[in-house]
Amino acid sequence: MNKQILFIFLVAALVIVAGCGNGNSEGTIDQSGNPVDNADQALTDAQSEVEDLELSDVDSLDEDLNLI
Amino acid sequence: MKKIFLFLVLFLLAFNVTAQGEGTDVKDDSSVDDRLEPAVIDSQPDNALIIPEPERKKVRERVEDEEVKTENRKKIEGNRERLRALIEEKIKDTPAAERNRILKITERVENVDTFIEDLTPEEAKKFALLTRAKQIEIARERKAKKLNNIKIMEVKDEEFRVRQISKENVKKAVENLKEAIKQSDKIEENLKETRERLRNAEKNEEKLAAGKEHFTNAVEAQLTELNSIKERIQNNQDLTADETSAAVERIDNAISKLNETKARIEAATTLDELKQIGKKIREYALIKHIYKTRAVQANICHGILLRSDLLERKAELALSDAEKNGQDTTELNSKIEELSTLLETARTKCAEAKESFNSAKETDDVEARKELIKSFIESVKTAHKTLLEANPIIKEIRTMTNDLNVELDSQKVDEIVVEEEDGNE
Repeated sequence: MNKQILFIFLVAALVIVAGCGNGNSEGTIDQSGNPVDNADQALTDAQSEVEDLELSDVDSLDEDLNLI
Repeated sequence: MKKIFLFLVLFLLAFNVTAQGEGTDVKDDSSVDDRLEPAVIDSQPDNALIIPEPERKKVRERVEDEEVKTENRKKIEGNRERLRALIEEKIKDTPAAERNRILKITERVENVDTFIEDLTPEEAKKFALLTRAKQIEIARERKAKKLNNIKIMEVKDEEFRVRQISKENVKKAVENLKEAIKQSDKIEENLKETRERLRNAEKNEEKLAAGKEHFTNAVEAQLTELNSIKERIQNNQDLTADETSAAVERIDNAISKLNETKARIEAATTLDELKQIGKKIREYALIKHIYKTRAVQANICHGILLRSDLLERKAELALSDAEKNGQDTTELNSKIEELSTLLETARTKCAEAKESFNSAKETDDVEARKELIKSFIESVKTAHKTLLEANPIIKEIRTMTNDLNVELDSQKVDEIVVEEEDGNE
């Protein structure tokens, strides 16, 4: 009888501990998906594309046309 | 067995207490009262029995200054009360936290009450939903007409997507374009060699041969990028379906004309003919730059800017919560103002970018188009830089709201305002 109670108790304890752990990790997931971090990520993503915006190829074509 | 049982109960109890303790630690804020200290320290010392004349003059000036300040404060308070009554009457359906944001600008603009008095309820609602910097600008210039260009938009999606596109497709399109630019750079390396041959050619036949090879490579470089830009435009959540179709049509046209150009290069027999073909390649390269920049501008000036606007509004609501709790919000208030000013600068740059884009798209003058694209790129870069500057301020605001035990991210904003010139509307 005692063994049965102990077993049930252990399972319940595991469920509670797992629940607490899950609660903490949910916080982390929400954190990564919140508007502040999303805006931050979008700005970082745009960085290299912004750096690529330049007209060097058009300037080179201007130079090429002068060579002909 | 009983001992084991008892041990487990104690362990669970201890675990619960620790977990709760961690939760409350974050909310602990004992520093609020400390912030009031400097005002007390600033008073006159008690042992100043004999005060020299210059000091006395200073004290007198300070007292007079204080009197003027008190008078102004009373005036502002009076205006604020009148304004409070006015906005309650005009926009009673707007939540109090939202409409009371207008009260903040009385510290920066005079006679806001008379300005609000002249607004229709619809205009007053639009005004209430504006960012703080925009409210200050419009109220200071007393230009209610500017509200006509502003439209209220329901916040359905906090990313403000105008089209639903999967994150994978967006990511793939961005990566493919990066890859295409790399390939195009490699072709550009080959172009250096053919350019050198072209430069050193003495006879016309030699120039023609080198020029043909050179322009064929140049066309390849343009085609590689154009195809990827088309994919980038098609998978852009910040562009409407209509604008996407129009852009894709122009890109497809450029691709088809450039493909035709390859055959024309092959068939060219004179240098003049080759030069005319070169000019056409340059024209299509400019089309490429218009849409390459537009794709980035849409992300920055629609998606990112609106998300930042939304965060500013959330910060204002958090500030209102903190004020209700009677906390010292001076620092938070000034940070929000800083953020608002930066977002307003970004918005201005985005409007300039949009104007350059529209003009560059419409003009037939190739040289004017090149200049417009340069301005377009410049405005987009400045808008991005400004938003990058605003980003750490947003993070500071989040830290401040956490310290004040008020929510930022979960504040509910139902409506925001957008300027109608935005092509996405």
